Amino acid sequence: MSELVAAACCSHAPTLTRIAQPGEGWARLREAYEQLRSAIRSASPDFVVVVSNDHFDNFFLDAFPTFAIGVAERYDVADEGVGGYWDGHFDGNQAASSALAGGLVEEGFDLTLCYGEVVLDHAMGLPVSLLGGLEFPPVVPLFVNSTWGPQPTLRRCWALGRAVRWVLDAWSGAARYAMLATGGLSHQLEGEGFGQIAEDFDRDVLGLLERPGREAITAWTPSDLRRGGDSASEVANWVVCAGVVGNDTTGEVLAYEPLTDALTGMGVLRFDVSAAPQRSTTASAGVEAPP
Amino acid sequence: MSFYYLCRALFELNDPHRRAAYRADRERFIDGLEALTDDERRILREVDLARMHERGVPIYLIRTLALVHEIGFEEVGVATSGRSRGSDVQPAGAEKA
Repeated sequence: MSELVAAACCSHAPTLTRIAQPGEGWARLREAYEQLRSAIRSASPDFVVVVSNDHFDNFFLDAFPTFAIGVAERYDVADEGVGGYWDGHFDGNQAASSALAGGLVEEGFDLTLCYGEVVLDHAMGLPVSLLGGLEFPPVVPLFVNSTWGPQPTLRRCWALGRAVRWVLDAWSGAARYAMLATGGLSHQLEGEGFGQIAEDFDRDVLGLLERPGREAITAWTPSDLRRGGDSASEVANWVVCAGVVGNDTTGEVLAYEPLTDALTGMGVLRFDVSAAPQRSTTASAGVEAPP
Repeated sequence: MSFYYLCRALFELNDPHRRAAYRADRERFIDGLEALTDDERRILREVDLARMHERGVPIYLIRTLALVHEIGFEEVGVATSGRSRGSDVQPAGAEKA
C-alpha cells in the first residue's frame, strides 16, 4: 500500500518570469509557493505526480493525446523557443510511472505512454523551480490535454483523479506520494479579451475546490470554463488533483492574486489529505468500485 | 493540409538546430518549406501574428515564433486582438511593472 501525503494545485504562468518590478501581489504569491514548498518537503514524498498540460512541446497535430504519462528515468526541460524556463532537469520514478500507467489501464483509462525523450515545459518547470528546484522529489508527469480541443470533460478528469488514487493507494511499492496540479486560473493570451483576468471565475473555482463536495465543479461545461478565457481550460488539471483528494476533505487557498503583468489569475491551493476516502463510498464518474 | 505545415514550421523552432537555421538564413528556411502556400510564406516572412491567429494557429505555436523574434506577450495580444492592451484589461489589484 502507498500513501498520499500531500496534494496541491498552483498556477504555472511563464509570464511570471517577465515581471520587471515584482509588487505586493507577487510577494504574497511567492510566500504561498514557499509555504507549499515547506509542506511538500515536510511530507517527504518519494515521488510527486505532477498533472499539467503540454503546450506543443512534446505533442503536435500528428498526435495530441487526451491523457498521457511519462515513464522515463529523467526528463529534460523543454526548449520552448528560448532554451527553457528553468536551468535544471527532472528525475523520474519509473517504477511508480509504470505502476500507475498499468493500473490506470486496468481502470479504463487508456493513456498514451511516453517512454522516450519527453521534455517538461514551463507547466512543470516553473512551479518546480519555485518549489525546490533540483531538491524537488522525482516526478511522475501526467499530461492532460487542456491545451487543444476537443478536451476531456471535467467529469472525466475527476474520474481520472479517483482512479489515480485507487491505483497508487493499492500499489505495493509502499511509497509516500504527493500530487501537484499546475495551470490556470483565468487567462486569455490572444484575440478578443486578451489579457483579461476573470476574478469572479477564479474565485468560483477556488471556492468550489477548497470545500468538501468539490466534485460539483464537474458539472461545468467547456462554455463555463471559457468564462475564464481560452486558457482557463487548464483548470481541468486541477480537477484531476481534486479527484485524487476526493470530496470529503477541506482545502486552503494559500494565495490568489490577479497578476495583470503575468496576464493570469494566479492561485495556490493546498488540500488536507489526512482523511482517506474509501473507494466503495466515493467512487463515481465512471470509475467502478471493485466487487 | 498546408495549415499543418505552417504549424509544423513553428513547432520545429523549438528545436535549437532548426531555430539556428532559421536565424541564420530565414529566406532559405522559408523557401525550404515547400508545402506552404504563397500566403503562408508571406505570413512567416513578415511574422504576421494577426494572420496566424486568423488562420487558427494555436497560440502556443505563435508564442514560439514570437519568442524567437523577442516579441513580448503584450505585442502578441495587440497583434491578435487588433487593439491596444489597456483598453480591455480588468484592473485587478495590479502588479505594476
